[in-house]
Amino acid sequence: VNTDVIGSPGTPPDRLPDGDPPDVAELFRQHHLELVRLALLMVGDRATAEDVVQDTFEQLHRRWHSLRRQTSGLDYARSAVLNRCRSVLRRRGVARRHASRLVAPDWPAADAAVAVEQRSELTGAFGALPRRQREVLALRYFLDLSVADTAATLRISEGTVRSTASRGLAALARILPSVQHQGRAES
Amino acid sequence: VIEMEQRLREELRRITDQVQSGELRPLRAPERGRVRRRRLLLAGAITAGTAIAATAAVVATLLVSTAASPRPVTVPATAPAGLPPFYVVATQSASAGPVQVVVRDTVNGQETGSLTVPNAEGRWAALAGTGDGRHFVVEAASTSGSRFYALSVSADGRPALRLAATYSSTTNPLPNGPMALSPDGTEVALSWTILGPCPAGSPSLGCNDFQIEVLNLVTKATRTWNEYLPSVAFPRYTPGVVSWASNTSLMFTWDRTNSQTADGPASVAIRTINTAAPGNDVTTSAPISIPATVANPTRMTVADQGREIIGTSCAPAGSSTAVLRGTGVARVVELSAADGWAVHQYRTQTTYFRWPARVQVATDTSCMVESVDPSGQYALVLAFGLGRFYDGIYTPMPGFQLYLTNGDPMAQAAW
Repeated sequence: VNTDVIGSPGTPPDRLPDGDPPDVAELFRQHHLELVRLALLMVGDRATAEDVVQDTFEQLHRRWHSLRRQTSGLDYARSAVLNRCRSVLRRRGVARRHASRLVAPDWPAADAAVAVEQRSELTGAFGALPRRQREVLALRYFLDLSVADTAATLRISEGTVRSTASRGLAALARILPSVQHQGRAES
Repeated sequence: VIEMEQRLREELRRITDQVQSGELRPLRAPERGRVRRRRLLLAGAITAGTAIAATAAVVATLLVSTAASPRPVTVPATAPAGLPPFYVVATQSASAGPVQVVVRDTVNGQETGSLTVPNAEGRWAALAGTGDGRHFVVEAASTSGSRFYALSVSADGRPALRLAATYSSTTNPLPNGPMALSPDGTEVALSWTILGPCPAGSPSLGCNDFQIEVLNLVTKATRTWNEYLPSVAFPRYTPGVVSWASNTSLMFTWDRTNSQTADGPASVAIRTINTAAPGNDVTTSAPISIPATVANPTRMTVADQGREIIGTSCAPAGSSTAVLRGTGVARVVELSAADGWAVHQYRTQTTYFRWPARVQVATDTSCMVESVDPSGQYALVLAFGLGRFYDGIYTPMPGFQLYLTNGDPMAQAAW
């Protein structure tokens, strides 16, 4: 595996490998952190989130010339990150079936016993939402994407975005009072 | 709603602020070879499209043939005495739903019967056997608990299913892990971890409740062994896969994790519970540490009345700095139950995967001991392919599809 470093956040590379499109490096420089944070919301641990984004940029680099509109590289990267997060979550589920009976939601499945003291009630409730609702809420309220952009990123209709977001917020509102009543975050 | 939106925004920001740009790993350069290879292929396509296409087809065929894809399996027609007569493969499609159970002759791998286990809610079912090749248990999981079906196989290989017990528990919302069936076929052992409140008197708010549970399929009674630890405590010890050394001796793995962000257990040990003795503490026996020389041990299974441990040791090939891209290594080892040291290494299976990312998937899901007969002479193992061992001789067995991608069915095997 070639492990040459081509850049790190905030420090764009001086020189790219021969023939590399400069826009990939620019995209990386501008959005690496944002994408890692998005992946973190999905998979729950930083190391996996970084791996997901690393793989995404590698894929983006290979396919850059074949993108229909290179200006949409960011949309492509966001979609790819979410796709890879889904794969990670599914793989964790399968691995868990073969390993031990960890009773915890997929998020953050990398550590089924994230300290309840360190997590707010809202964080726990967000992690307990279905994957699609988490994706929509993360795009809408973390990246502040519009309904249209969220729909385009997830390749679903705008109506589905609205209804999914509405259901997600309602679920959070339903969960939170019960958590507060119990005085602890449910895993 | 607006208040909730605002709270959510602030909370997501708070979570993600834990990651700062200066802490991130730098991006690795993609492999240049891929770009150059693609250009060569494009140039070649212009000058000799037909020839390239033919070459690509041949290369693809060769790659697939060396990957862990299903291959015709030739099984010898004769087998040593004492071999469990049948093995069972339980398969559930990627879209969930019923579980298909197929019984196969252990000697020649031929299918002798099949049936469908109802699993209306579509969640995963687990499979375990006594090791005699005739008696099994299938767990069909649902949101409200599990149904345990006793599966018996007749002398001519026909399966029969009987609902043996239902298990309803609000503390068991995701019953999807391995389980073990006692040699006499009456008790099922399970292990899991639940994050919940601490016992009365604990100063901590949340505790991990590590549980080993035994369900008696005859009396329907359950018995639980626990260990509570504050959820912030590290190192953390987690009970894992269980197996029965005898009808009253239960052995389980004891994983040590050093930090919240650890990729896997730092070390693995084996502990024992005497189910005939009183008490409910999982830590009554001294742990037997597995030496670090057995890398990434998975699915340790005891046999021969607890005198030996059969396990797998699986990892991508190469080192952390020089990974052999696309290659995985699965080792099947016998360990001493007295001190955990390796006694025999039965098989080293090196497999090339056409898609490199599948090495880790295969390591996680397709490398384990599925079943060991009570004598410890015969083992049914998954080492990037299903096979059986006898006296150090490995024989591949048919009827099992590996889980390598999201669309693949999920399967387990037992005898």
